Amino acid sequence: MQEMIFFLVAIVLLFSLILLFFTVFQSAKIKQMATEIRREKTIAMLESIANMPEFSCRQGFCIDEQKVLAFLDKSKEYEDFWKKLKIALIKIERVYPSVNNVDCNKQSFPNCKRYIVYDSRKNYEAYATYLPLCYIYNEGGFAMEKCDIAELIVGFEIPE
Amino acid sequence: MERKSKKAQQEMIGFVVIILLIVIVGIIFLSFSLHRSKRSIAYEYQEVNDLLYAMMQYTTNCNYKKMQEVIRDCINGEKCKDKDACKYVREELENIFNKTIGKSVTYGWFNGYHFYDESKNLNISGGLLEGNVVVAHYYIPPTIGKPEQINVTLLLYFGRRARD
Repeated sequence: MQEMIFFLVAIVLLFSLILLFFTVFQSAKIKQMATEIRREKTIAMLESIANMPEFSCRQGFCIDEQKVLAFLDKSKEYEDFWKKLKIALIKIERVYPSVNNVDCNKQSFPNCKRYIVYDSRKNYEAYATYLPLCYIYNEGGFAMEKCDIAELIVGFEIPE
Repeated sequence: MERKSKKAQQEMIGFVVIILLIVIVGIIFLSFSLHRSKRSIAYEYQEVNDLLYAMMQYTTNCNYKKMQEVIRDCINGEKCKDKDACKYVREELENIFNKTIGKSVTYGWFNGYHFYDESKNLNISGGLLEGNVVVAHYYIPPTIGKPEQINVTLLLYFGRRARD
């Protein structure tokens, strides 16, 4: 009888340990999945942000630099929107050709490096993709388009 | 004596059942933990495709033509200003690769690149061509007077470097 009790206790303990181990493993996995989902969302958002009418060119997949320049004045109005999407950073960086390492504004355009569209100054994990950064200029009375290569960097908030 | 032996036999069977149970749980656990996500490949694929697209749309110093037009000139044996169009494309693409690949904020560990067109007039590569590979294609559309469609391919090799 005593043997049986010891045996049962041992089994219960063993299964409790297995259950505990499994729970810890599952909770770690759920956390990892949550990070993956956030990551997937941000990656999908890269294309969505690039295609937003506030930034996109009239034709094709590219960023209209003059629209971004105009957007910088209105960026405060979009802060709640970015917060709702858990976005911590949106940056557009000209990678080619090489330009002065300065932030872009009306004075430095088009010889500038980066547009900080939004920066919440929170911790973030960033993802990026390349796209054409284009602007229209006047050349002898003709409207010409110049496209550089830029990187759109989007960072999502890392939950504390 | 016989009763004792039967009891021992029963205990042994019980013990084997428990061991079997633990083994099954272990196998399930292992199968879960070894299941690896392949989602990052999709991201790299998107990044490489976007890079190739951006490169083709880049406005060159060659009479304000887009890179895709200069590549067409190269394949047709034309010149860019006074320079051979192919030489110009080669130099520009090498500069672009040096400025972009390996400087990505997320995947700064590309090993090498290989860019070519179907006719192999253009065949540019750099770095170590080893590791995992992501392929991107771009079709340079026909224009007036130049009806042929040109297919260019970009292969990017990434992963841990063999020499690290």
